[in-house]
Amino acid sequence: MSYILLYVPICLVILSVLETIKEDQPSIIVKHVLKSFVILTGMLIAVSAIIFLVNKYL
Amino acid sequence: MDSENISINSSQEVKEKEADKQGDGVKSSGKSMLLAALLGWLIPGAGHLYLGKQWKALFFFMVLVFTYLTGLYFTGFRTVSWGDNQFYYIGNYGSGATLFLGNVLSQEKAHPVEGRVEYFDVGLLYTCVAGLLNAVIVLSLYELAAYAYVIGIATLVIQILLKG
Repeated sequence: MSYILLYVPICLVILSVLETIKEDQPSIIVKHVLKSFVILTGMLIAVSAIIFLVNKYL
Repeated sequence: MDSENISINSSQEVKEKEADKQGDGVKSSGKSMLLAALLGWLIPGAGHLYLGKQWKALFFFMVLVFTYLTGLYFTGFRTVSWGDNQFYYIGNYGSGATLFLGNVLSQEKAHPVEGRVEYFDVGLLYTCVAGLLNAVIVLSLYELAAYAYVIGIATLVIQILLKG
């Protein structure tokens, strides 16, 4: 099992707890958590790709 | 007409919130926020259960127990002592339950020589996060979660600097 896979549950746990503190409606919590997760993961992938390309070609 | 209703409702909400925060940390329902915070520290979710927020209490309890047990599974049901790793040990203080288990299960040199060695650090991270998230939940009862974020980020930066 890859370390990367373990990022998903811990990230979802942190985001869901922080969102549940703020909001009261479960539907809004789920929506916000998924949105935050996609944005965070997208940013991590984008930054990782940039670092990879910089190391490879520069 | 609708806008009047909305403004009346919002002003009522503001008054209720102010009433909840009046004076000595005692809610208008007569429940002590200090007791809620103490219960929440002892057992994850107990503070919210005391305040009558049942589903939030159940959610916090289940999520934090799942995270902590997953972490313990990866570490082979060992936790670190203060001398072993101070950063991860501090995470135990996030709740009374994790502090108790952390002290019962801690060993001077917790790092295993066999078994799930490769996931040991990940397991420690999971147990630490469970404790620290409970601290954020408890602080949020006093609406101090923003300070908890700052403390968490500062702790992370210090750890990175120390390791670097």
